[in-house]
Amino acid sequence: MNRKGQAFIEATLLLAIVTVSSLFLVRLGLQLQNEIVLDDLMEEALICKLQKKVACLSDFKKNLHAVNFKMVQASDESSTDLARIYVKATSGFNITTILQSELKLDLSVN
Amino acid sequence: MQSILLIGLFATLLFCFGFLSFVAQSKMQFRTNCLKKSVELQRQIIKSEKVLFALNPLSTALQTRYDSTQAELVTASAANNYPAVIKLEADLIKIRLDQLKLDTLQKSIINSSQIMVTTSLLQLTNNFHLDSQRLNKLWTGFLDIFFVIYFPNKTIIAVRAASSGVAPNYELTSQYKSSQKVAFVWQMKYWTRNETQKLLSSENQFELSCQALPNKNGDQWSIEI
Repeated sequence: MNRKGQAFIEATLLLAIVTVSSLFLVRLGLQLQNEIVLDDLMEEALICKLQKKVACLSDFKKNLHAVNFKMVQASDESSTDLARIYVKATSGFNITTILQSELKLDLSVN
Repeated sequence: MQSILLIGLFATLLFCFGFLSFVAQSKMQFRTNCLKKSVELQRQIIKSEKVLFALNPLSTALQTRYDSTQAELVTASAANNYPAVIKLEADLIKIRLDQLKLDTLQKSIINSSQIMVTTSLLQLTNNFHLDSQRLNKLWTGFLDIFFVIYFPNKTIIAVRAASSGVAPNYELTSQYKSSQKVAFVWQMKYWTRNETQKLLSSENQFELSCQALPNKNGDQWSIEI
């Protein structure tokens, strides 16, 4: 009985560890995936800002929605030769990613 | 046994995530560096062209003086005014010498810019390669990673003489944007090494490019990315 009890406890503990680890890994993977996608799209938006194009931020938000991000908050704090974007986006699995990215590039020639 | 398998699975997943992060970081590093360096190189080319184009008024003035002196010489010759002919001939030689000096200066600006561009392109390619190699040291035990970085077109100083003769005016060619484009392509190819292949066999390739183009609108220059 004792051995059965011990085996049950060990199995439960192992199952708990495996479950928690699996969840942690899945979450880590999703987080990483979100960050890579966000980074890529943010860079496109930063280049778009530096090119002085209009609607960069709204296009950025559209692109985020297209890759299944919801509750997107993005703000743009760009100046003449500095493009800076802040974003808070939640993916389909309720993983929220907050990122800020900037690109400083002077495209004028004096 | 099952625990070992699970640990192996988790370790493989962590390895994959780590590598994914490394690829993203490498791409990001290249793109940012590439944009900055390409823009800087394009700016240097444009500055050289601005110096070259600033000599156009002098070129025009010399040619105008040469033409008018030559016309005066024809008139003086027809009138048999020999003292004037001698003076005008001396003037013509002096103007021609000035034109030759200007021509040498114009050509040296173009040639030195072209040498600077060619050298910079090679140097930047090498630097990008070294930067990429520095990042991949951690993975060389498990993966064979190759970076190929090259410039797809030879950037040339896109100017041409607007007229024939010595010390002409210079202008941009009609295709100056594509001819003078500074661009780089970054390719990363990886595959798992022999020992790692027993556990995980993977092979992939990524490609990325960046470019900086000149843009002239009236007297205003800018750089497009």
